[in-house]
Parts: sequence; C-alpha cells; structure tokens
Amino acid sequence: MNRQTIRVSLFAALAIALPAAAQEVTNLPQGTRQSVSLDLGLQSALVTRASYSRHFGSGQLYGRFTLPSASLDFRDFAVEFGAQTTALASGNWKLQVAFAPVLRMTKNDVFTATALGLKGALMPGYQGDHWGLMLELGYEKMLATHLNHSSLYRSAGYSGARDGWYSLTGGTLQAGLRGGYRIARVELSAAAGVLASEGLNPVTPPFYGTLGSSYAF
Amino acid sequence: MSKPLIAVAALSLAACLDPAEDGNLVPRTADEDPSIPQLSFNGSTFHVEAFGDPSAPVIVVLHGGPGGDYRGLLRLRDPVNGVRLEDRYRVVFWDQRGSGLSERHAESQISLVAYEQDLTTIIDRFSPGRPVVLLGHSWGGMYATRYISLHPERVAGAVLMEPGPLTGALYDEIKSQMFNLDPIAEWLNDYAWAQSIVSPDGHARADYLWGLASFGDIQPGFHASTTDREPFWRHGAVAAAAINAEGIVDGEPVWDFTVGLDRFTTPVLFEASSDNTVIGVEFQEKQMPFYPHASLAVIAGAGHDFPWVRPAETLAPVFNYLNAIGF
Repeated sequence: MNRQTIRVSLFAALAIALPAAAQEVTNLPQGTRQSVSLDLGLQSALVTRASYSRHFGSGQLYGRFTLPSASLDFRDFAVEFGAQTTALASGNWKLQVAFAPVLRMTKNDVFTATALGLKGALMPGYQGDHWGLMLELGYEKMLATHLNHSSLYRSAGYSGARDGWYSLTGGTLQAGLRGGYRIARVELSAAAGVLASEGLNPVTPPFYGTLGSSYAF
Repeated sequence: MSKPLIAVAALSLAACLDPAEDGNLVPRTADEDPSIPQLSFNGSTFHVEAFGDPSAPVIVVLHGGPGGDYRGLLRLRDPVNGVRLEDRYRVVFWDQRGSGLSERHAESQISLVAYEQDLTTIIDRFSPGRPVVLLGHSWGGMYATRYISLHPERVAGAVLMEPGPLTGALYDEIKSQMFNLDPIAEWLNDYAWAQSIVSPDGHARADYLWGLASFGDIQPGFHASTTDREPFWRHGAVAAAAINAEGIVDGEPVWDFTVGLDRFTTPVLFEASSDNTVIGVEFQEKQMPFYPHASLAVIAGAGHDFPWVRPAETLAPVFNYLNAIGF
C-alpha cells in the first residue's frame, strides 16, 4: 500500500457515513453531526475539560481545551486537536483509536513551559445505544518543550539552568475504564484509571478520575 | 510524512537540549565536575567541604531531607560576635549519598546502612580516633540520632536542629500535619501538571521536579520563609524515595532511631523554632526524653528554616553548648 492509498484510506475512514461512533462511550443518535462535552475531575491536577467534536460517520475530528481548575491560573492549560475513528467493529463491540497533537502550557515557581506533543489512545469496548464501557489505553509524549526558568529557581536553586527548547521532556501512560449512559441526546460518563510516567515511575497523583456529560446535535 | 520533513523534524529534535543531561535543568554532580570540592569513598563521590584548622576538633554537619543538601546551612559559617564556628573547630559540610551535588545512584544503592557507613568514613577521614560533634538539621537530626544510637563512642556531642520524628510512632502522631495534600492546593496542582510536561524519569528530571515541589507550600505548618528562601543546589529524589521507603513499609512507619540512646550520656542540644506548629517546640519536648541529658533552645521569630533565616540566633546556643561540654 503506497502513501497515497494510506492517505485516502485514512480520509475515507473519517468521512464515510456509518453508524455514529464517537468520543462518547455510547452510540450517538442518528443524524448527529456535532457534540460538545464537559468533564471535571482529577487528571494531572484537578481539571475542567471542554470538547467540541465534528462527526463524520465512524470518526470525528475534535478540539479539546483543558484547564487545571483547583486555583484558576490561565497560564496552565492544554489544547489538543485530534481525530478519532472506529478501527474495528463487530456489532456494538468496537475498537476506537484516537490521535492528537497536544499543546501544554504551564507557569510555576521553577519554569514557564510551552510543550508540543502527540497523544494516542486505544479504546476497545462495548458501545451500545444506551450504555457503553470501554478500556482506555493512552500515551502522551512531549516532543519539544520550551523551558524558561524563573528568577526564584536561579537564585534559590540552580543559577545555571539553561533556557531553550528541550527534546522529549516527558511522556505519560494512561490505563483505565470509561463508562457512559445515554438519555436521548445527553450522555453522562465517568472515567477512572491509573497514570504513570513513560519510564513507569509513579506520578502524582498516580490515578485519574473524571465525570462528564456531552450533548449531541 | 515526506523524507525532507522527517529530516527537518529529526534535526530540530537533535538541536534541542537534553533534559536528562546534568548541567541543563539541574547542576552536574561531583563525579561529573572535578571543580566541585569532593571526596570519593564507599563506591561513591561526595560533595564535601571542610572549613577551619585541620587539627581542630571536628563538627560534622548533616543536612535535611532526606534528599536535601547543605547549601541552606552555609549561614552557619557566619560569625557570632566576631567568631565563626570554623575559627574554633574543623567544620565539615557534605551532601549525603545521592543528594545535593554528590553522585547519583540507583535506589538499591541507597540505604540507612550505606548512610551509616558513609558517616563513619567521614568521621574517620576528618577526625581519626577522635569523636566528633554531629550537627544535624531536620532529617539530619534524625540521621545523627540513628548514628549515635549505633555508635555512641564516635560522637562527642550533638546539636539537633528541629529533628523530624525519631520514631515511627511519633511520626504517626503528626503525619496528618506534615504535608499539605489538599487536592486543591496550588502547589500540588502545579506539581502534578508539571509532571505531564516533564516526567520524573531519570535523576535529572526527578530532582528538577522535586525542586519544584520544594518551592511550593508543601509543609505550611513548618512556616519556612517565603521572602528569604532557604536555597538548595539539587534535590536527590531517588535518595529521598529510598530512605523514605525504608522507614515506611506497607504504609506503616517502622523506624525507631532511639534504641540504645540511653548509652549516650553526653548532653545534647535540641533547637526548635517558635513558629513551627508541627515539629516545633512542643514536639521537640516530646523527643528530648529519648536522650538522658537534653536541653532545648528556642529560636524566636522563625520557622523550620531557622539556620538559614536566623543564623546568629541559631549559633549562639551552639557556641554555649560546645563550651559547656568542653569540646
């Protein structure tokens, strides 16, 4: 299969109209073209996450904005624009795959960071009309991160800290379950699981849990 | 992706700094930088400095942590009434195994036994055949106590500056106050979010992140200064994890550094800060009876970082104590 064929196949997978299967855990109502969702919970800090999805048959393109919300600080956030599609299906049993470039920003006592990365996820499970339950297996890798160190770190820590672009600063692995229940156009969902660094070192906190709802239209 | 694009991406990544390379996010360690004052022994290279007449009685300084370093104790070199400790004594500062600017090791190579052997070697090197005074701050006070319980004959006296819990049972009493683990605490969320960008994989990044945690309001009850921050060179995240793991087994604090302290009949000086509401005056008064002869000096107007923010007030009782024990 040449590259052109791969491109066309990928596009087709996203564009062909099939029974809706989306970021949501349950099947979307017939005719759904868009959905919005809001999640709250703990995932690398207490976060609020808003998503918008444009559905194309068995796939979707989405944008997602994540804001740590324990004490609102708009210098900390993440944005991702990705694609998700059903790679395999047998009735309501499906394997969803997702892929997204990610931008993460933060400012703390030690550094200000702009991080560019990629995120991939596999979500096998049952996706019915009223309820669904899927395994979430994710990996997010920071490819390039610009770090700018604070005067505090230079004075009370390491004065020689180097500012600039760093490669491969980190990666996070995720494994958990996501379940949902649909009431007409609204889906209520919950997710929980564990997080670890790509080197399998524990992160703080080593688990995640979110509650969310989405509206399809 | 086309070959030129892949090549550009690869070149761009290759031009970036390496977060795992010491010297970028955190300083190099003594084994990597010969300009750092150092000694090698027991299979490791330590950041060590000694001040004062080499023939004078020796004071060995033990920094906090575990996983801290001695930079925040260097104001103990300041003069009091024109006299410095090193004018009368040989004062040895060193970063413990896996901490500060000392060499990094795997967790399996860091243990309380290794720490005991390292301190014995330091004493042998700087004060062969002659007992030393141990001056330990926080974890350093715990470390000193454990060493005294095992080797009282090697120690001529001890200054314990607000030591952490000397037994697991005492830790149990205060553990809920030790750390601010409120899920909405800003420091915790900053730290957690930062880990999604910089992973705690490898010594450099783990130490770097530990530095971020240390700047946060992680121990509010300790009332450390935020206007005159106690500095550090580089935290030792793996060393901290290794020592903590040895002390807390299956969630239970199992250490008891006080066994045999009754053999140590020399007076011991405790110091405590007036502002620390967790391991301050009241807590140290509970710990003092482990020693047969202990006295307490209270450092007013300071928190746990009093050796940094109140060095003169910290040192004055130390001079008096050293005179009193005839050291």
